[in-house]
Amino acid sequence: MTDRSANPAIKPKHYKSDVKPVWCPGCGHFSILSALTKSLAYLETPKEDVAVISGIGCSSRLPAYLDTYGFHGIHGRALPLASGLKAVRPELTVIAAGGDGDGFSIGGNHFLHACRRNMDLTYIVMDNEVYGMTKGQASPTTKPDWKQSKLTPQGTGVRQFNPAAIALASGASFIARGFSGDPNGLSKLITEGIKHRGFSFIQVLSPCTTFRPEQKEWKKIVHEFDFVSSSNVIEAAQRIHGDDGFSTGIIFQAAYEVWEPELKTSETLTDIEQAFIA
Amino acid sequence: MNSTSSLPYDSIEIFLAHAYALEDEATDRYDQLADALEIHNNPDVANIFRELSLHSQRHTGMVMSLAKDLTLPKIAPWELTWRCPEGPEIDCMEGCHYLMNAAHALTIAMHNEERAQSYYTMVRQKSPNNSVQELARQLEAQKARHLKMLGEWIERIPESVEDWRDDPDPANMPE
Repeated sequence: MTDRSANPAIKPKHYKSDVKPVWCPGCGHFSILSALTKSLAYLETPKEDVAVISGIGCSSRLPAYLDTYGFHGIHGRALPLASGLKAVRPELTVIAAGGDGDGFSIGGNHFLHACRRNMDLTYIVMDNEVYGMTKGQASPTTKPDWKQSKLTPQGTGVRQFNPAAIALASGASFIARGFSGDPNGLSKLITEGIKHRGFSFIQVLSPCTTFRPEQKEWKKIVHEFDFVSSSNVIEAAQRIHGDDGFSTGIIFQAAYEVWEPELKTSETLTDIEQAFIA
Repeated sequence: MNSTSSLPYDSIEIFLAHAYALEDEATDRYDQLADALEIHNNPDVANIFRELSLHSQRHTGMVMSLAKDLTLPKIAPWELTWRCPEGPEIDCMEGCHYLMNAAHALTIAMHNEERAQSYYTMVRQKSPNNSVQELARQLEAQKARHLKMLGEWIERIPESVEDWRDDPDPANMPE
């Protein structure tokens, strides 16, 4: 508990826009929206200092539901957009968001390099192990034996992507996993991610009520990690690979050097034009 | 995750901060459900959730009036001492469906209200502080009145039909 007095002027709903979410009733993404607004309210971040950048997919609609700056970009390109924005407006709290298909397949390469570049961004991946907006195809995090999609009636037969392991191997300095069924716990992870200096990656298990109704059972198997976060890569790797994928909490946090491009504030449009000519 | 220094029975301020969060989160959740059902062209259920949100808003107002001369502490969402991941009055999101009917919505509301009432009962029973006990008693009584109202409301609506999920042209079919 903090010793600050409650400020009724800054409530989570302060960060919500008037646009009504089109997500299916019961979708886990509602709770992620709620957790994010709780974090921003807790941090008392002015709305005009926040930019939420997304790609394409159900989860990538997130910026529309927030009354902050936002950009609903193109498929898989949330991280390049967010990185560009952070490069020129380093004072902003820049949050990239999207789904498992957008982030790990179409945007997979950007994910690797955003991790190693370690810009001061927060990336929230709302992982439901399916492409929901295009009506239920297997995504990179879908287990190989999921047979409910007409495109993969025998399952994909391909081992699923392990986001935390890839993030760690690529050099992310903050890696956490949360669950939409615990929005308050998730709010803590997002808050810590935003406060972390460097690239913070938060994978959120978020059931898709329409195409993966069996994911309702996740709430029975999700559990907190039984260890405190590590700053040791080898230790974190062992924990990630020894885990069932349903543990939540901060997995890894380290103080890596943050990439911050030097800004040429005195540069005018004419200077830029001259640089192209020269 | 929960700090022992923020137990709701320790002081009036901490208790009311919890009560405020409980009611405010319920207001938000019912609004969210109303929006979702409105978007999915189920205006009857959307209206019920909107009305439930107004009720929760009135309850928030009651908590605010009880706290009007106090400075409530700011408690981080993850430090609220609920016994479940979310506040007592916002369970059952997963029971929602775009074809749900009035009976489903009110059953969810009854369940949530019962949980909220149990929460206030628990605080009243556990708190060693007489003032906290008295406030918890008032909020518990308010929940009992609301439960009665919901019970009467549920009696006025038709029973849920068995095939309510049937949709000859569903919006979301796996492809």
